[in-house]
Amino acid sequence: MLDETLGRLEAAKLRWMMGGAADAAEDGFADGADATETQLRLLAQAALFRQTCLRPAAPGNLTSMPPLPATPLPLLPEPLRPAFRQMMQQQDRSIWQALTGLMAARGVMAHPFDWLPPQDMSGYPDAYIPLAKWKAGLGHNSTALTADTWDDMYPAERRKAFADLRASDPTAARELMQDHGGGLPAEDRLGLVDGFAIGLSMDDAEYLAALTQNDRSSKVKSRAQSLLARLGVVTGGDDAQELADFMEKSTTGLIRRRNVIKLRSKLNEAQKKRANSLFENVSFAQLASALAVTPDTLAASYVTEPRPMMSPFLQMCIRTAPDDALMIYWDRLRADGVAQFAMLADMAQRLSKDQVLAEAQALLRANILTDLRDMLAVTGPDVGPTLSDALLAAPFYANKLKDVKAALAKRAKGEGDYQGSHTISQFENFVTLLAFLITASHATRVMADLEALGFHSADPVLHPLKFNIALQGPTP
Amino acid sequence: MSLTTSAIENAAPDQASLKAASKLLSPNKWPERLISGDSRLIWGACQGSGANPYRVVVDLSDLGAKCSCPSRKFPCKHALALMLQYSSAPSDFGPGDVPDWVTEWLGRRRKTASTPTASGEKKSLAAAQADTPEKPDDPKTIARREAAAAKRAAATQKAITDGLAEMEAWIADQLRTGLTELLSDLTGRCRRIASRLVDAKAGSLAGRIDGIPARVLALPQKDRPDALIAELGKLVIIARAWGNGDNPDPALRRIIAGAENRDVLLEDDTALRHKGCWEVLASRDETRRDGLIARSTWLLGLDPTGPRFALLQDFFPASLGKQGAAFTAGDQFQAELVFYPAPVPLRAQIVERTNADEHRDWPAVSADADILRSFSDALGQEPWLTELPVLLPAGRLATAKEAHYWRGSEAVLPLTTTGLADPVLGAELHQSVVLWNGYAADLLAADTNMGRFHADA
Repeated sequence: MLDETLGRLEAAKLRWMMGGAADAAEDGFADGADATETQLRLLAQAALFRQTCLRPAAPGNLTSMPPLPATPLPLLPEPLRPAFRQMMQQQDRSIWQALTGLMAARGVMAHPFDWLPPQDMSGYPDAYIPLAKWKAGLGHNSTALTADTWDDMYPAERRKAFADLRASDPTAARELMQDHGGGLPAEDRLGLVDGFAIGLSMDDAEYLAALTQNDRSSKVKSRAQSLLARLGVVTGGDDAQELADFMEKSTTGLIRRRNVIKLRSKLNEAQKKRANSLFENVSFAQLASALAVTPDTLAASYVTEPRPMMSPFLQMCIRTAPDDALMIYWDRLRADGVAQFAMLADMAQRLSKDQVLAEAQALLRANILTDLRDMLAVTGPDVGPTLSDALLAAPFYANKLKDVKAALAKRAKGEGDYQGSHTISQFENFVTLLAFLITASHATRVMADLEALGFHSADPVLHPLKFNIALQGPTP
Repeated sequence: MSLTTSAIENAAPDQASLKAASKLLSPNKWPERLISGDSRLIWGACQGSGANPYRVVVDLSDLGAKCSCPSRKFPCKHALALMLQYSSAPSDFGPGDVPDWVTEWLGRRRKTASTPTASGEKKSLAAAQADTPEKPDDPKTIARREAAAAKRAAATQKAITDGLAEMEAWIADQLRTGLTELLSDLTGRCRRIASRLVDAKAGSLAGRIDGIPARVLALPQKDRPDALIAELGKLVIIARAWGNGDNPDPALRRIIAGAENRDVLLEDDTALRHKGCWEVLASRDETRRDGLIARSTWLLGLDPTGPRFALLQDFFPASLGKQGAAFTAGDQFQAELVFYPAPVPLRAQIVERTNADEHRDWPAVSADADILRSFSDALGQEPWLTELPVLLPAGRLATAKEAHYWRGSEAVLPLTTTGLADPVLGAELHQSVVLWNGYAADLLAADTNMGRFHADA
């Protein structure tokens, strides 16, 4: 019966699509109705037949995504998801990293419906690795790095597992790299070579030397060279001698004589340019050798004034100086008031987390901070109570409040200008970054400060602070 | 923070606004009146003439205000009414967490820092609240008015009957000349017959016909002939059900000539009323050819009994620009709804609303092998229906040739929803709500293993 009706309606459909006259009897209405009437009746029947009697058929090639993996951390509580989405609207990778970092530090992660990590996971919490793997279509959950799991791992996951293995068994990690590293893309190889900084020893020298000779990527070669230099392995020397020739040694001080090493003052622009490029290729040990001083003496003697070329020297130190020499030079930079958060951000790769936080605190006390982004790049989010105290005690914070207070007061009087609007707009960014850095209790203090300035407690400027406080969970 | 009557009078744009505001002071019209912890902001929801309540906020520090109503007056009567209520009984305002829509407004407001400027007109609340007794009409005037109304009704009935006959003839013409040709000029031809129906006082049906091109052309090419046949066939059913219009079903009259207004609905004893907990599934705006925006807010009933779905529908001129939404997808609230009388009650108005006490789960789906049975049954009672929300059982989303599908253990439904993000495609859907149009489904929301998904969020 169903088939018969369907056949009749399909025939009518063909006719209707083409147009033309119809035969009433053919359509099954033999009650004397005219052709037009029967067509309309049949049309009404057709309108309902398909929607009541038939059901959609499944296409043959239907595929589903693999189920989402279990997440290592609980998801952000539902009431906080809109605020998270709002903050993630800023198309700024460093903001995303800071926000997800703050959340991970407080034990939660973003809802996958709201955000998925990018393919390049560097700078994002490890908790997102399962989601990144899922997004990339990789299904296995590997925990330890072995020859068997090497290929199953997502790059960020492998990098983390490699770093863990370097910390516990550097030899096993090196052997895995020797056997399997060659098959990886240059970017992944570079990430793993960086991992050799953990537990770096002379046992690694042979492999690193081989990389400097044979690796296909110049970046990998350069990184291996830097690691070798930290081990004191000196190769070549022509460039170092050329750089040393641009320098002069002298002594200064009337009572306490002190050695000074600096670039000769009469270098022309071409020579300065050449010296700059030599700093990128020469290692710290090579330069010390070419200057006929010990590494510690070089670190204690090279000038700390920004000009000329303190920065290239510092970069060379970070890249290749032994730990002791590096810290000698850094301490001098800090003592002379030259050290900046941006420099500490570069230094961070050579320091432990505790060292980084201690140095950041020292810079805060010295009133060095000019931009919270620099601090965030150094410390990462959620810096803890001690550094939060230091941050809110710094004149930088008080000055920001003073500036925005003045701008708000001017605008309230109808005297707002571009400068004032800019100050207020910049203040929003400042509060956002501040909220990523400080503890929940410090965020509460900042909220009170801002409300005292006239910001309404519901003002969106305070959203990031509220988010920070809410991440702490309900107050007991 | 106190608020004086004279401050409100000064803030009012004119005497008429004050008068209008004084008619909105009944607590029944305000399902929600709240105040921020620092007593600086008051906000609330005012049930106006539309299905969706208006959201109103007032900053007590400078009487800056924002309302989601389309009024061009500032502050509008709803904001003034909120101020008046606070001024007379601040204790009626309960403490509340400042909602997102208020903070968004605050953020925009701080950037523009606009404050209302009072007009020079003298305004008085006492005068606004004074009763001006209307002069009773004499029996002759009443009789004359009733006769005129009856004459108008008869003329309307005849115009609609003639219009529907013309529509039937037009449909027969389309069959004769071929639907392939109609599909090639669907928008133009639908526009022409819709214009005729507007003249015939069948404005609602005209709007429906104007929407045919969008509904049909959104489907894959292979489904368009069947969809067009269904649209035209249902128009025939509507015309036949109307007959000569002597005794039309209220639901049928509504889709031809438009819905009765809120006051008429509230006075209708036959209208279904249901008190319960509701969740906002989605809110969709559709710009119509007549220059109106139709806003449809879909609600899911969370109680084990009572109507499963409700539709709040409002219309406002597109020329007013984007209007603030009354609800956010995922909101839950307690409310008494009154449904427009229909064999399948769906469209409704909120009578009274309060906040939900606790977050509720979705109701369980009955284990019916035919997941579209509710749609078939509804068509049996209202054969002119074009779409209906359906609560689906457990399933997953799937893809074939870049098109998305909902896939359950017993059935597969094609989705009109596009651009679904990967995580939703990877989620396990415990239950889903789709808007089924007979051919494809529009995914509104889902309860998943990762929490709630709202397509609008």
